[in-house]
Amino acid sequence: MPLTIVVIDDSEEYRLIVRGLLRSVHDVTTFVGDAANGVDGLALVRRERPDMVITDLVMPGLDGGELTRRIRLELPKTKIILMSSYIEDAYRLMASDSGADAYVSKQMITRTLLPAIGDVVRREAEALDREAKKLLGLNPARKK
Amino acid sequence: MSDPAGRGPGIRQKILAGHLPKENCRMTWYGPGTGGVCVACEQPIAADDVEVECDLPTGGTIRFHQGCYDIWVAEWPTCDVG
Repeated sequence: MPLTIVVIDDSEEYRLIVRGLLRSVHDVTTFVGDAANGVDGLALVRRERPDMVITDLVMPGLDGGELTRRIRLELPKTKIILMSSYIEDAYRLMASDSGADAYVSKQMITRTLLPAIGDVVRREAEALDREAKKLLGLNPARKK
Repeated sequence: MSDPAGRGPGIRQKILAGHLPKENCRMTWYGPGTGGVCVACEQPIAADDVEVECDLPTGGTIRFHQGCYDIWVAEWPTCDVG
């Protein structure tokens, strides 16, 4: 089943770039909507309950960090990828403290976003696999 | 996963020796290289390389070239002999 994704950014240019990148993997992802600010984005997320949210970190009003915290509380299984042009340590710390799964630099978004999505999906699949094996009493270690 | 530079065996050795962790990241950062050294291949991560920073669930952050990160995440789950 394709991964459902909501995109939130106050920059229309970046919303379009992300949609364009997602179009290249349309066989495994479904874009379900976008929003131009955190408040509208949160409403969209509550309505659509997507598998993943890709959101700008720095936005006026409800920023990506606070938005991430609220989504984490309401929909803990939703995966969240933050994006920003800011790469300084303070912003990375903000992203890490928010509980996001990944943070990508907009400076390299065409090279970073799809690998980050793939990585977050892989980590979730491995966590589910380990959980299932634990429930079944199997050894989660794999041999090569 | 491609490994044109043949880094896989060296990275696997580091995992088996306990020099690289065997756990998934809590959060990853993908962006331009910031001048640090890749924990897997010990080469600098140039500004035009994609750097992956991995915040570990047990604390601490490690940096990789994107290619080295891809090798590490493919290798470490296979390094436990059950």
